[in-house]
Amino acid sequence: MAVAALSAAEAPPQASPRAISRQRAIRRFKLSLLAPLIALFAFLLVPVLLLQLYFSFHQWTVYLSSWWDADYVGIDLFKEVLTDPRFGWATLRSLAFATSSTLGCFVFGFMLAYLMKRPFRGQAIYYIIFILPMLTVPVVVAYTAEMMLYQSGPINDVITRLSGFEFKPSWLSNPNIALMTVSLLEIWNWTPFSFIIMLAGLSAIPKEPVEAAEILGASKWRIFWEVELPLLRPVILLALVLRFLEAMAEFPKTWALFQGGPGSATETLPVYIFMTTWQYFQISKGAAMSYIVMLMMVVIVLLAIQLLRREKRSLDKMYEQSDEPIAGA
Amino acid sequence: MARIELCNLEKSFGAVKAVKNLSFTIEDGEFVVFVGPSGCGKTTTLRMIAGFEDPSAGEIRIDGRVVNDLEPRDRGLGMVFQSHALFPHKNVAQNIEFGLRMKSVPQADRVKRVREVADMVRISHLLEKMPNQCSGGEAQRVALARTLVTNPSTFLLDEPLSSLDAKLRRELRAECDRLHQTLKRTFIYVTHDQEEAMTLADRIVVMRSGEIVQVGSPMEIYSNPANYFVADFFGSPSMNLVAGEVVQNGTSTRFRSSWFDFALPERFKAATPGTATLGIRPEHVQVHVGTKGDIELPVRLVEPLGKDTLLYFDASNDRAFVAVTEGLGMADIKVGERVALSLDQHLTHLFDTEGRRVNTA
Repeated sequence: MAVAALSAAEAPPQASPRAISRQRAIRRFKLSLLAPLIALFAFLLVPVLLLQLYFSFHQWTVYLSSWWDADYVGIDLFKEVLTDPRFGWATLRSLAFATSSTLGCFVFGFMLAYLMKRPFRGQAIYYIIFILPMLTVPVVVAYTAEMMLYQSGPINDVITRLSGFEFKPSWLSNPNIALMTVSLLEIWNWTPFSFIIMLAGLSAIPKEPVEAAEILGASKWRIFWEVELPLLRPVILLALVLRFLEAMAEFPKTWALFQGGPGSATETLPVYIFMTTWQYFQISKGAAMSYIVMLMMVVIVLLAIQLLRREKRSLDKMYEQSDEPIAGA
Repeated sequence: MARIELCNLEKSFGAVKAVKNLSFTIEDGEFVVFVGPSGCGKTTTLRMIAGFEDPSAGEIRIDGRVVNDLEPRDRGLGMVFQSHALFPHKNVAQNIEFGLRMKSVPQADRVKRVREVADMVRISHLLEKMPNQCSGGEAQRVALARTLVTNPSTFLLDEPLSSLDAKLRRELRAECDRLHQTLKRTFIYVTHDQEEAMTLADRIVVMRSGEIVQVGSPMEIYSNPANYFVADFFGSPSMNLVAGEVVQNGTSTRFRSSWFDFALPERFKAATPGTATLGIRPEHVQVHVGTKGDIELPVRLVEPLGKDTLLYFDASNDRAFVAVTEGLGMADIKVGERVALSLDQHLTHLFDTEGRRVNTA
């Protein structure tokens, strides 16, 4: 009933045949644009997904010759993964890593974007400098970090000299701070991404409301807090969501630096899946784990899309200017 | 109290000079309208007064104090923007209250002031609505209220009505006028609409390519335009401007064009012979049916407007020659019919090749 009412409200009251054929043509055009992606998805991703699905329901290891000879085990592998405490810890580590690095990227990216909001001399050079970390290959970031971060290495040395205090954390061997080390590297690596998004968002804010606030007596801080930030909400959400999803999948830096260690301090989901599949050769368990993680991510993505849509709608509503007052809206 | 002085004000954007050596004083309580075509520097001038643009040279003084280095919020001005610039995420009451909150006015006083101001511009019924639920006219009233509430010494209005339709524009124009009467504050109003300028201003500043062309009361500007540009810009329908030449013919001075030969009045006796433009307002052209006048022209188009009737004549000029007659008496004239016209001798203008008005003796 509710669905019927909704579609009736959405359909134009009197759709002429011409309008309908026009709408169909538009839909066909949109589909034609999507076609290459759909083809790619169908021919590359779907077979892989199906194969993974097969593996996650059949017990197979590399010691068995033909993979189609593997025994069907039903949902046993899923049960095994979900009751595996190591998997639970890996999930928590991944969430902690993604949350901290996302917030870090956002705070620094937003600060840089705010500094770059107004044009100034030599801005392009700063822009390139701020973008550079993102263009660095993560494995290179990891190896460079390894050379800089050892206990008597240059970073600790410089901080010690500058502060006058003995600053000797073992970034690479202390299990209590290893995950934080990767998180800091992730922030260094991906702050440019948040920076670009926030800069685009900042430059899209209409200047009149800001000027109006200025002449009404608002300080820079109040303008930021009361005018710019509310108008930026959808962009902020986008920057956070995209970064979070990327961070959940971080593998190269973690692996190149720690291989999950020291102990299991940096054993995040991607690392654990990799180890299960390619070190313990439990291909089927790895496949089941991948499926579970994928479902987790799908839920997160759907929630994020829902949120982004709501934000976008409210933003559109804010800016739309009706000629007639909308009664009861 | 606010007397605003602009002294040799200049503003360049790169190689473009938007405002050139502008000096002008706006008296306290005056309603001054800056008018001119787009790109003439009027908005830039206003934005410099507001403090959003730094002058490239020159000084801005408010009550004798140089404010060039003052932030917009420290100048005690209020501004209404063309796009109303309401905060889209705050409701009408919160929008109006904003300025008071920034000045840390206590809550109870804020509520009272917001009510008063909302009553003043008749938007009390909108206080709970969001800006996107207001119509264009209502939004502009809210913007006015938001400025009013902070009690500024001077109101800066940047084409506040240009995004509204004709009826609303007239309504809000009257509102601005009423506010100026009751508040007795200085108003600086920028527009490209000559009608707004004529109806609102105590003094009009006509600008063109960054310079002041003429300053005067609406009547002065209308009846004594300093040059061709001002003559053409003000008045609707605009002044008839006929290209031709001044000829000294023994005792009399005549103006001739390809379709037009007119004895110039005594005051143009000293006019230098040569190319010139004759100007006459449509309402100063008399139309006679049958009798002989200064010129005879075929009617091209008749526009009965009710109160007046506009007659367009074929002239060999690229623009039509227009006459206004009162009432609908002339509305039945057939297109193509020849009609005699006489020009009011005292109200003709003559412009030289540079566009300057030829001064009368």
